[in-house]
Amino acid sequence: MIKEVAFVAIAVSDTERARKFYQETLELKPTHTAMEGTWVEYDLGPTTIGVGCHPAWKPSRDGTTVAFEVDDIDAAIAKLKQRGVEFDIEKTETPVCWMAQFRDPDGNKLVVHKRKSS
Amino acid sequence: MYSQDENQENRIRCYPGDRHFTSTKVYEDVPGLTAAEKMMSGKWIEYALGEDTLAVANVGDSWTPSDQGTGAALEVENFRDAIKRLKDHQVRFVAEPFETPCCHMAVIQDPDGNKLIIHKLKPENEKGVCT
Repeated sequence: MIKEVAFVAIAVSDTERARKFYQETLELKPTHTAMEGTWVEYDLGPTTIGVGCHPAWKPSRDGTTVAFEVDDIDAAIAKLKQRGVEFDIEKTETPVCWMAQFRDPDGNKLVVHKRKSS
Repeated sequence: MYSQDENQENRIRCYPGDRHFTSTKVYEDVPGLTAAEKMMSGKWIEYALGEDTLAVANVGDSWTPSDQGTGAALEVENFRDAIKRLKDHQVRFVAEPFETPCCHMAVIQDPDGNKLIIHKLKPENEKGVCT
């Protein structure tokens, strides 16, 4: 019934603040904009991250999150910290990966993630 | 920072579930997903979806479900069949099926209230202007 993840939608309250964060702090490149700029899509490999602003859809500090796979997790964390991003879970090792959790300006949880080689 | 090329490794979407047993029933029995990986004594379950991974987890009070915020849109093979199957299993719809110029969508909730979007992209020859 389900083939794949079509996209992941992240709710934000301020389009311009979100644009700066996702495009400048995280260095994502927009691939599509719709709804007069209130919906911006970023393609990441086979997946699309959609960042949207709508009064009926609020950001949340809880619930679903996205883990971004990076090449070098230490370098990614250092760069984000240098840009003022605060981490609420510092780099953590599990049997299969390393990860650290931070927030976007609306408090939505995001994770930087690096899989261990299998 | 994040490579946006096609060879980038999979990203993971993670859903927290307090009602973990009923949540996994919904993720496995209704859409027929098969657990690809179970960790933390079954509290963290991963489902492979195309090149992505969807994780459903119950890992304590530091990460709780929400009916707001981030949500995943799941691409289905047949939109009408998927909606029927979900309704037959009494899954809660917070947005009934609707059509945009480029896709069909509906919004459901898992037993913890986490929102999921059921999505079907239209073929190129049926798409309107997606703005």
